[in-house]
Amino acid sequence: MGAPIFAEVSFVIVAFVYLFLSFVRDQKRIAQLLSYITLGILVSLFLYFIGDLERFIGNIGGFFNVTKLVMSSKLLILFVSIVLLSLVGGTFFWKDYLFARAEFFVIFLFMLAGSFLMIEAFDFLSLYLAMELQALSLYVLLAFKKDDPAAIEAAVKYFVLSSVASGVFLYGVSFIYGVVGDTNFLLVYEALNSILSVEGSEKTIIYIGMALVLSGLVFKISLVPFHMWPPDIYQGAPIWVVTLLATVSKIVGVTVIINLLTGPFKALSDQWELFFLVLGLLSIAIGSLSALAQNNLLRFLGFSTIAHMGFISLSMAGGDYMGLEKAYVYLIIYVVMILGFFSLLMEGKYRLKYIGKKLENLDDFAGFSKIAPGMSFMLALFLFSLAGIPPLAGFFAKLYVVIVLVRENLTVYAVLALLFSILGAFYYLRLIKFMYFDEPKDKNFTCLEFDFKTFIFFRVPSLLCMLFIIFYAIWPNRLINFVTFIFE
Amino acid sequence: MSIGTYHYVFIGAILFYLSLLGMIINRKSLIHLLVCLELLLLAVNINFVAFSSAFLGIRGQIFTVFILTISAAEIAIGLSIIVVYFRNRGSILVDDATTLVDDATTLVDDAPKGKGSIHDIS
Repeated sequence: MGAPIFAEVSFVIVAFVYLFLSFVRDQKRIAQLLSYITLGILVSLFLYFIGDLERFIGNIGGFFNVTKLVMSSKLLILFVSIVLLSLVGGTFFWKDYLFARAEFFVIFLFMLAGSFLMIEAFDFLSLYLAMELQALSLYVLLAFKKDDPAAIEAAVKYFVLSSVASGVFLYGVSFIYGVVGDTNFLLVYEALNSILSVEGSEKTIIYIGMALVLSGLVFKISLVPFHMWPPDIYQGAPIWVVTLLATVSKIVGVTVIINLLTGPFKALSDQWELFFLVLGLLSIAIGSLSALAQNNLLRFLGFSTIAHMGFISLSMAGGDYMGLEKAYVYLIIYVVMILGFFSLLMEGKYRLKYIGKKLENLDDFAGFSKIAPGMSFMLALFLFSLAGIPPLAGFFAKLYVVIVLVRENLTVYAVLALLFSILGAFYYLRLIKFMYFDEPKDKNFTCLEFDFKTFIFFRVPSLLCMLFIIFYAIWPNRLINFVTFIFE
Repeated sequence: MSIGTYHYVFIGAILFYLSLLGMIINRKSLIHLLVCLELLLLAVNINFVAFSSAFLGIRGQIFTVFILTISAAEIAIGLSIIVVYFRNRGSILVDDATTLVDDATTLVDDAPKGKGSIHDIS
């Protein structure tokens, strides 16, 4: 049997097979071959999973528990990684051979296995082990560009901060173990229910433990007291790894937090609601305000991530399943938006590098609409969606959060969040202003030509994402009903 | 006075905060940070072993063994990243990690370093 963790096992086996291919002399050809094979595996898994979500539901030895929520997160991660592999193919096409090594695919598959195991963990021990599997792979991926000081500095910073976060997480787990005597989610849930009904000093220890565990996990989704890493890492790391961090890492973080809140910490909802309320509001405020001063595009995206994760946190603060559902909807929409945006950005970077220009700071986008009209139009749509302009999906995501907050009588927080998000709209719109209303820096620019392979590798994924954010407004209920279904 | 679980937890807490303080205050070289990381995980281990012996349960000790293994792997990867870092810069000082800084901070750093500038305050 073992059907529920079928995907992870196959990832690990395939990764070990790949490991032998790293001895082959011609790594470029091997890497191209491996990217096709890996893409085939991921696509077939995606189709296999999407056929019947409930077929894979089950519990394995009390360590892993696959639910509908876990399956839908797995589908989302698989979709994101299919797009990411297509982007890797794009980097090969533009003669960037940073990832043209068999080890890259080994580490990528281990990262995926770690992410999958992390979202379905049902015990703090398995959660910790899966978290480390994912984190160690991420450290290596971040340090892949060995001769770039900025990338290595980003890797060092992420390594130190993420290790401290996992240490804090473990310290919290030790307190929970100290009160409950076990680390299984179900046993913790039952024990906390009985402990909370009687007065005693255990309560305080449980609160400390929960706060520490959530702090360690909240680091992954970069809420405010733990928000110092995204700007630095986004600026320094290779952009493909940044895309990975902005999508897969966030999906995993939010899903694990939802798992914990609906599982072991369900009885403590009064406490964690306050926790996420404060952190969410601070994230939106600090993320929006700090982004105003930035000039580097990726750094500014790092701050905007903090603001978006603040909305997810506020939605979680809105209490029961309703708030968590809307947080998950926000997560899906955000991941699709940022994925489309990043694949366009990668295409733009490679194409401009080819004609001897760079796309790093916001003012490098001056007159971009004249150089690349199609790409600028799509970028503008994604930016409107990130800012939350009505007909696009990003608006609905924010709307649901506000509805949740108003329903829970937290109107003040809703108003504050909206005010800060208006401030945030300024910098998204500023980039559009650079693209459409400024003149290009050098006067004799040339328009970028259509290129079929670039279109396949970069533009098709972002077109898919764009279709999602445009047509979301027509059938908003489909996603809502799906999320309600998986939270049953 | 007999030594009970709470004393061990207290030692664990002291070690935990010492290692956090070590990272925050004594930030000289990256090796310091690695040592402090190890101390952080060992503090957690003391907690786990203390609780485990109080419960007469084996779960905490299993946890400890896993933490020791993982922390070794983590430090190995950290050391290799630091080696790459050293090759790029020729130093492993934390203060030299200034490639990725906030634009607002850069403005302060670019200020003229003469009399009356912000650098004289320290």
